[in-house]
Amino acid sequence: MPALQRIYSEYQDRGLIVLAINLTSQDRLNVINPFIQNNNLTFPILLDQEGIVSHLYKVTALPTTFFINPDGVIDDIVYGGPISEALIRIQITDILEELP
Amino acid sequence: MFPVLNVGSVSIQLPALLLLIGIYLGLVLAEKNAPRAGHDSKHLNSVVLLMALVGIIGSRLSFIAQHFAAFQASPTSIFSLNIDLLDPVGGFIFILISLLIYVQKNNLKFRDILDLLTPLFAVFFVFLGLSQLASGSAYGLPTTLPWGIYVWGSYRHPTQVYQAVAAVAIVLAVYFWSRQGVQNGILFLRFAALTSSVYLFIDAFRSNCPTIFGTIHLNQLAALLLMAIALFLLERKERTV
Repeated sequence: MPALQRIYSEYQDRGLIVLAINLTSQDRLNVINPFIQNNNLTFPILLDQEGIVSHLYKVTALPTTFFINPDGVIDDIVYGGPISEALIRIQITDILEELP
Repeated sequence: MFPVLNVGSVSIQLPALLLLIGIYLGLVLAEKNAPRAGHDSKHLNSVVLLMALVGIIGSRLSFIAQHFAAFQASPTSIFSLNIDLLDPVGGFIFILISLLIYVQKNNLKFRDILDLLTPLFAVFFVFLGLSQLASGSAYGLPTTLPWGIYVWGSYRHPTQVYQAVAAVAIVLAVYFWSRQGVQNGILFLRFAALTSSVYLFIDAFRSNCPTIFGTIHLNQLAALLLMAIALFLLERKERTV
């Protein structure tokens, strides 16, 4: 998460959108806010309260990171964590190059 | 597709685990076969350890070289355990160079080392197919055949299963030949010819393949080239034996 936050801060002006989705159906609501504050997260955190998103995206491990290009197509999926900062950087720069 | 195995609170990357199992079982078979096929197995563990170390370090270095800016911005990622930060082609080149050095330093013949490793390669290809099935990569074209599997939004040819089944047949052939004492590089060349012919055939059913001149699959072209070289060398060797 800290790596994702660093990259979000760096690239958000160039059009990067980060959506973090909490699997609220498997988690407790009261732990979300302290987690956001402890990690100084500024990107939106969405709540998947009924597990619909995790079912649609076939999430079998946490965290799972989806890299989605400007056409809405999933470019890559990384299962598990912690995900390395360099890998996020490579994926993001590849995707941002596709932007008009 | 089953990329992650959850054991309690621990998530295991199943594709990577299957590859490790493949290497281990391949090594066991290669060790068993070595004396029967007239090879000295004392080099086997050293060569496999060398290949593993050089393969990991080499594939990471090659990946860093290709994405230097990303690692310059995040230097700690150099030591990341993430297997997505490896370049298999670069790793293969490093392994090949290190094997050539090892062979020369120990006064061995390269063809003998290849024969020694052939059972390992053969078993590895079985598990490579299973690993690709688990990760959902190397998937097939859409099909209406009854054995199609549902991957990435449609029923597709289970190309990973085709590969694993064909690779099992190749393992049996390699086992049979090595028990017969086939050596002098012939064992490896037969394996290479068979495996490349399998890839040549199965790749016709694969989706999302890199192409050249619009329609020709790059993997098929590489497999055809490898098969031609293997058959040519095999024919020359079989004639001289």
